[in-house]
Formats: sequence, C-alpha cells, structure tokens
Amino acid sequence: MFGFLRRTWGVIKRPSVHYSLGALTMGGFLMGIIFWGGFNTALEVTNTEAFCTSCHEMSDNVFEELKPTIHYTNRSGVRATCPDCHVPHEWTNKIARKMQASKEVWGKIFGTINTREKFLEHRLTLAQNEWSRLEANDSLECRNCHSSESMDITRQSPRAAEAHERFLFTGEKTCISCHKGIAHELPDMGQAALINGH
Amino acid sequence: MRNYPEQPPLIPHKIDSYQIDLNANQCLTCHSRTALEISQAPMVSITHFMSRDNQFLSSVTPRRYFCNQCHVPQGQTKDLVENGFVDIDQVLEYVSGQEGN
Ligand code: HEC
Ligand code: HEC
Ligand code: HEC
Ligand code: HEC
Repeated sequence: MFGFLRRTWGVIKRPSVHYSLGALTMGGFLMGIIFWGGFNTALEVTNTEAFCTSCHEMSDNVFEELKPTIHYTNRSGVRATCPDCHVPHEWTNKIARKMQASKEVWGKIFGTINTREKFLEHRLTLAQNEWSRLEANDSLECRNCHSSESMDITRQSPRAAEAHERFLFTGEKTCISCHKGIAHELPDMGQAALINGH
Repeated sequence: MRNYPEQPPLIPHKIDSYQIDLNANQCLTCHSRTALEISQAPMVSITHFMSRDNQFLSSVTPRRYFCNQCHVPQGQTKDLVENGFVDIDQVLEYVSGQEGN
C-alpha cells in the first residue's frame, strides 16, 4: 500500500514525457472550466423556486401564503420568486447564503418544521432571522428590484409618499423596517414585541 | 360627513391584504397609541379601549380588535343593492314640512 502511494507520487512528481507542457496546461484549464461550470450550474439549480418548493416545509406554508400577494400576481405580470427575496444575487453573498442553507437541509433531516404546528411554533424565529438579515444588508434583495432613486413619489399614494420621504430617503429606515409580512403571513407579533422589549 | 352620529368613520386608503388575526393587526401598526409619532396617523378611538364593563384597558379590547367588522374603505362604486337610507335631519325636515300643512 505504502509502496503504491510512493510510486504514484513518483509519477506525479516526474516531469511528463508523453504530454507537452502546452497540452497539460490546456487540460488543466479545461478541467477548471468544467468544475467551475458545474459549481455554477449547481448554484443555478438551487436558485429556482421549483427547488425551494420541492420541500413540503416550504410549499405547504410559505408558498401557499405568497400566492395571494402582489409579488405573485399583479397587473404588470412581473413577479418575485423565492430566491429573488431570499438569496442575494451578488456572488460572495450567494456563497455565504448557501452555507447557511446547509442548515436547512439539516433541519429537513431532523424535522424541525415538518408539520404545520412545528412550523408555526418556529415561525417567529425564522422570520426574525430574515428581518435581521434584511436590516443588516439594507434590504438588498428588495432594492434589486425597487430602487429608491427610481421611485416617483408623486405617483404614490399620499401615505406612501410621506413615509418614504421622511424615513426612506433620509436613510433612517430601510424597506423591511416598515414592510414586514408582505410575502407571507406574520408570526405572533405580540410575542415579537415582548422579545424586543417594546 | 358621517351619515349618522354613530357611523364608524370610513377608511380613506386601501387596506388590501392587511393582516388582522390572532398573530398580528396591521391597522394597529400605524394607528396604535405608540405608533403615532412615526406614522402620523390618527389614534384608534379611546372608546376602543373600553371593555364591556366600561373599564378602560391598557390596549384595544378584544371586542374592538377586528377593525374591519365596523370600518370599511371608501370607494366610488355603484350601490350593490338599492338603498333608501335618509339621515335624521332629512326626517326632521320632512316631519316639520308635514306639520306646516
Ligand atoms: C431540503 C428542504 C428545503 C429546501 C429545498 C428549501 N428549504 Fe428553506 N427551510 C427548510 C427547513 C427545514 C427550514 C427550517 C430550518 C431551521 O429549522 O432552522 C427552512 C428555513 C428557511 C428559511 C428561514 C431561514 C432562517 O434563517 O431561519 C428561509 C428564508 C427559507 N427556508 C427559504 C428557502 C428558499 C429561498 C429556498 C430555495 C432557494 C429553500 N428555502 C429551500 C427546508 C428547505
Ligand atoms: C423580483 C423583483 C422584486 C423583488 C425582489 C421585490 N419586489 Fe416588491 N414588487 C415587485 C413588483 C413587480 C411589484 C408589483 C408592481 C405592480 O404591478 O404594482 C411589487 C410591489 C411591491 C409593493 C407594493 C404593494 C402594493 O400593494 O402596492 C411593496 C410594498 C413591495 N413590493 C415591497 C417589497 C419589499 C419590502 C421587498 C423586499 C423584501 C420586495 N418588494 C422585493 C417586484 C419585486
Ligand atoms: C417609514 C416606513 C417605510 C419605509 C422605510 C419604506 N416604506 Fe414603502 N410604504 C410605506 C407606507 C406607509 C406605504 C403605504 C401603505 C401601504 O402600502 O401599506 C408604503 C407603500 C409602498 C409601496 C406602494 C406604493 C403606493 O403608492 O402605495 C411600495 C412599492 C413600497 N412602499 C416600496 C418600498 C421599498 C422598496 C422600500 C425600501 C427601498 C420602502 N417601501 C421603504 C412605508 C415605508
Ligand atoms: C417579495 C419578497 C419575498 C418573496 C418573493 C418570498 N419571501 Fe419568504 N420572506 C420574505 C420576508 C420579508 C420574510 C420575513 C418575514 C415576513 O416579513 O413575513 C420572509 C420569510 C420567510 C420564511 C420564514 C418563515 C416566515 O414565514 O416568516 C420562509 C421559510 C420563507 N420566507 C420562504 C420563502 C419561500 C419558499 C418563498 C417562495 C415560495 C418565499 N419565501 C418568497 C420575503 C419574501
């Protein structure tokens, strides 16, 4: 066994006699593309709504609730899918989010939210994770579609225009501070207030 | 204008998909006492804090919690059913008109 390893190492170490340096670099380059591409494809696949809703935890609860909202159907026919709001488009953030997603696969295996009751029990925590993520990144995902620069507040309802002028344009608050529960039902907010202490 | 003294005020904005259930009341995110400073919305009437025994509670009583049991958004729409409602002033005017005869 040890001999075999030593011999293999010898082959790897020895300069190649059969292939030119050019061919070798070329080969390495191609392999690189294939692996990089495969990695990207894997990311693409996991970045679809079909993937997210392949788990009943996601399709029975949050997906059903998304359907009657403006982000699923509206007059303009443009819609937001799960990864639009939950997985940042930016590359580095994307990886970071995927690492976090491994926790979900873990949760799936151990069934943390595999019934409606368990989901409702955990809902506040899950929602709070999302809220703090969006607070921390200044509602990045919302802003991927809605830019405050392009908002024409003269065409908004008076309530919206006033709130946006006073708090959004001044940077005092971010989208998620005011627009909670736009895509899914809210968890027990009374309990949320008690935890946050106000 | 209110059509009769006890008429619950109409809602002057849309309330599409505002959640009102055991978990959350999205009307109160703007109209509750503590939200006014930010929202600049009118506070929910003080009568809504009164329990059925006329005790004032620290927050909206359960019997007033479901806002849209009484309040509806205002809209310019055709009447769904014919409505012969007249308010008290019109009634009084009619009565005094009759007496004059
Ligand atoms: C393997 C099944 C499965 C798939 C596929 C899946 N989820 Fe989940 N998701 C779960 C489970 C289980 C949890 C609860 C994890 C826990 O207990 O912390 C969860 C939690 C979440 C949360 C709450 C996050 C948090 O920080 O607490 C969000 C948001 C979410 N999923 C969105 C998505 C999106 C978007 C996709 C598609 C890109 C997706 N999920 C795909 C099973 C899944
Ligand atoms: C994929 C793009 C996309 C993303 C991401 C997105 N939105 Fe939207 N949003 C839309 C579209 C499209 C509409 C509907 C436009 C229309 O037809 O009126 C909309 C509508 C809205 C409305 C108007 C609701 C109404 O009743 O008029 C609000 C509020 C809103 N989005 C907030 C958010 C927030 C907060 C986030 C982040 C959590 C977000 N959006 C993420 C595309 C997006
Ligand atoms: C200070 C709180 C606040 C912040 C911050 C805020 N909004 Fe709003 N927004 C409101 C209110 C209040 C309304 C009107 C009432 C409603 O729709 O529920 C509104 C309405 C809207 C509408 C519908 C426009 C209309 O004419 O009714 C859109 C779209 C929207 N917001 C998107 C956003 C986005 C995107 C962000 C972040 C870039 C954001 N808002 C940040 C309070 C806020
Ligand atoms: C328009 C943006 C948007 C879209 C589209 C969206 N979500 Fe969410 N999601 C949110 C926000 C914001 C929260 C934080 C809780 C809240 O405010 O309701 C959240 C919370 C969650 C949670 C935590 C539990 C909860 O209900 O709070 C899960 C799980 C989740 N989303 C999964 C999904 C899945 C799966 C999809 C696609 C079927 C999806 N979301 C589509 C914005 C969105």
